[in-house]
Amino acid sequence: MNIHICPTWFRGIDIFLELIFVIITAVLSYQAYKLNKLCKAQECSSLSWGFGLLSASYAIQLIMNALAHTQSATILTLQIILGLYVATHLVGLLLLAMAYTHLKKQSYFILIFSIISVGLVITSTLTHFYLVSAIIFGFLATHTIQSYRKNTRTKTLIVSIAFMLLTAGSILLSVTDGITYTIAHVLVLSAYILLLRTLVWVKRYEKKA
Amino acid sequence: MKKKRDRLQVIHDILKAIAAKNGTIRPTHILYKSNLSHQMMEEYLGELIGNGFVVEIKKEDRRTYALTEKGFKYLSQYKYISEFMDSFGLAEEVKPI
Repeated sequence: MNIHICPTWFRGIDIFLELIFVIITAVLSYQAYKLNKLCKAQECSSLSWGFGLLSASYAIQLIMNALAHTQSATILTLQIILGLYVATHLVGLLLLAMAYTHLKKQSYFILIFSIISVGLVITSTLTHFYLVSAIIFGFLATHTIQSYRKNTRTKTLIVSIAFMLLTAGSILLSVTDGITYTIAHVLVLSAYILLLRTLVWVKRYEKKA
Repeated sequence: MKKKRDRLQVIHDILKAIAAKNGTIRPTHILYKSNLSHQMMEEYLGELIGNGFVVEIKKEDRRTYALTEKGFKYLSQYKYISEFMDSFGLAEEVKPI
């Protein structure tokens, strides 16, 4: 697998943006964990693990890009870190999909993960990985749009827009080009800001103990 | 058409019914208040006991259910829980009987 072609002027900025992704996804994970403690819902548990693993994957991506920019790691080291990034990101996304499908059987999860993993190992390209990510984010966007059509809440619409932006971001990342890499980072940032904004709105309803 | 309730709302209805009876209730009252089939009510009660929201009290031939501190906390934070689940599009609908 090849690592992205990052424009020279964007080096450092991408790492900063990835740090923001790490923080926001960690906050979302923690809030879902707290909610799971309150209501013991499988969806909250999957959401918490999903965002938690996405946070870990962005942290790995951040380290990988920092090493790549400074050229302080061997190709083999970068390939290992890249593999770790792909695995954590994929598991995180599948857990989010589990939360939205209310899937409780772990066997389905293992089956889907195995099929995708085998496909990615055979093709060994980042393009396929980002296209798989785009499909899963697209699925989440479709699901939240359906929820919006049922409850017509602005917050649900914002969440679905965030997932659409993440879908577009993943599609752009599948094109290994400097400009698309930059635009994708901006789209992903916008998406996570929207998710964080929704969380802040929702937190207003929390009663302090 | 009757609106479908989501799973969390059903749990809320059961806990609210128990709270309304001073925190202790008989299963027949739960059945009446929660508008569920007997089998569904038993499944929900099993889940609520397992998660520590409710405790079962057996006295001679009578079976009653009481709210725990966790159950009361669920009730007080229900608006926040439902707002989170609805906003993030996570609410799971339950088929009416």
